Amino acid sequence: MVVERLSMLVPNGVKDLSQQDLENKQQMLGEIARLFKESGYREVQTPIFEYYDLFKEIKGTLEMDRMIKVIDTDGKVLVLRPDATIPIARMAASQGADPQELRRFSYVTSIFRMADDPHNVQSREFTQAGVELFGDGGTGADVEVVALAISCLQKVGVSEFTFDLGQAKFFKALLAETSLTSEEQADLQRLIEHKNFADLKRLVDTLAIPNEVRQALRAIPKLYGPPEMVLKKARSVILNAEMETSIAELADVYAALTEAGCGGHLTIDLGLMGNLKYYTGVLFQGYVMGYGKPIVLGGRYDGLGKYFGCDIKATGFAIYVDDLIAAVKNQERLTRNGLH
Amino acid sequence: MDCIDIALAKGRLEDQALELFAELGLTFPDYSKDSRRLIFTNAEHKVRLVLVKSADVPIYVERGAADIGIVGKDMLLESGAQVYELVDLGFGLCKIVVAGKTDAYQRKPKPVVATKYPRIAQAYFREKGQPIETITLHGSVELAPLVGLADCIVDIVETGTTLKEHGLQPMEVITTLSAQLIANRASFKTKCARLYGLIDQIQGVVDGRLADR
Repeated sequence: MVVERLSMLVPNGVKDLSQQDLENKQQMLGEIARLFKESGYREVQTPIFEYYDLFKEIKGTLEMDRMIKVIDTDGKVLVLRPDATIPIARMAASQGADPQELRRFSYVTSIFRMADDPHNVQSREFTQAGVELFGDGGTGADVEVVALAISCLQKVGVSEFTFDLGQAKFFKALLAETSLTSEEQADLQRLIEHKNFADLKRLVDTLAIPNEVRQALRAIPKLYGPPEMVLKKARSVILNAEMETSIAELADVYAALTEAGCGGHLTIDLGLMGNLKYYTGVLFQGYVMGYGKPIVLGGRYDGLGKYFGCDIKATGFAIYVDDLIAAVKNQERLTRNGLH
Repeated sequence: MDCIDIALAKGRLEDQALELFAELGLTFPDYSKDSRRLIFTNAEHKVRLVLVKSADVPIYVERGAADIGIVGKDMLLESGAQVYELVDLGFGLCKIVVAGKTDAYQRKPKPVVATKYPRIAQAYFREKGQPIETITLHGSVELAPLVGLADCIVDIVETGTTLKEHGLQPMEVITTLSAQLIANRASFKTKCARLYGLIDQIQGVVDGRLADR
């Protein structure tokens, strides 16, 4: 009979890092942290335990079921840090500073979530490194964080990568033309994000909305690719001033990034929305050639400060460090095999 | 220039998918049905075809082991994979149904449902507000109610002959399905020019077929 000795095993979703693996990771983190510091970002730390209520009240940002919960001695429910940005936004709001004051925070931290992917060996504990820029609502701040994210990838030796820019306001402003239920809105968003053209058409045809909104909704998932072309096409589906502003913002950000020499790495996808309850403006995702998942997620989240009683403009990004390491390894393998 | 990897579900959809590729001038000379090989290459267009079990296609594409894939919507719903579902290919039409000898399962407090699709079955009955117990089987699902393993089944039906032969009747249609063209999200962003071209061509063929109907 085999007696399973749990003391010999590592639980699912977490893993040991050997000397070599850890040294590699630390070196990469060191380079990223140095870059953050040189760019004026100061590192902060938030606790590993937080009240479940903190994340529960900020509706729709994180899946409740995926947080890892423990019970405190007084019976309150705690969670292991499921996200880096929300606690840092709380810190920014509670420092009593002028909301207009520019503050640059960076972090390198472990994030904990319930494993939702049985194929991922490190899905319950993973490292994020990122920045949050508070106090600036202009496109200059958007440009700064995207450019910094791009520099991070270049710094650690990633050669072929793409940053995809989106604009949360565009879809929101379009929905403002309708009186759809939040359920219908969520369905639309899901189908647009999955670029599920067939089901989107079916759904849109059943909704009681003006015809031009129907056309625009069906057009959104097609608004992807080379920035100039997408911006031009997007302008042809604009229905109100807010949509117009949102595209102008995106065009500004793209122009400034191009001027900074990042243009070759950029595409635009207006079907990219991420979490709409969270993102309020320009958002972005970074992909490395040959690696199946996004490595960088970021964007503007001006609404979050209000939960903490302070209206602060904010933008930032997180790098999924473990994925970045895997993507760099993968890139080396592809180069060695001469597939590129 | 890099290769585009296509994951194709073996079986039901294989022939029609290859027909579709042939219409685009994309042929795989070393392909034959009896071959034991699983990877076929079109060197001219730099496209590689990987044959995998249909249930595995979503995961190949989600993880980026293949850039695009052709798979039935049933497998996509069941896997919950995060991929782009770009084109409804219009072939491989079938339904997912609840079937039983009678509708007695509807009156049971917690019927046992045998299926290859536990996730789809759970989601459907949850929406209806009926709690169920699922038993996951990997083949001949229609056998389960006959031998008392389950009260009913959730399975895909093309013509309904198999059900009839086993004395089962489709009671509820959960959804209708067809083959989908799916894409890895990162490939879609990083290999854009080549992928967009291929996807547009496929969409063109599908639209053309619809117009002919």
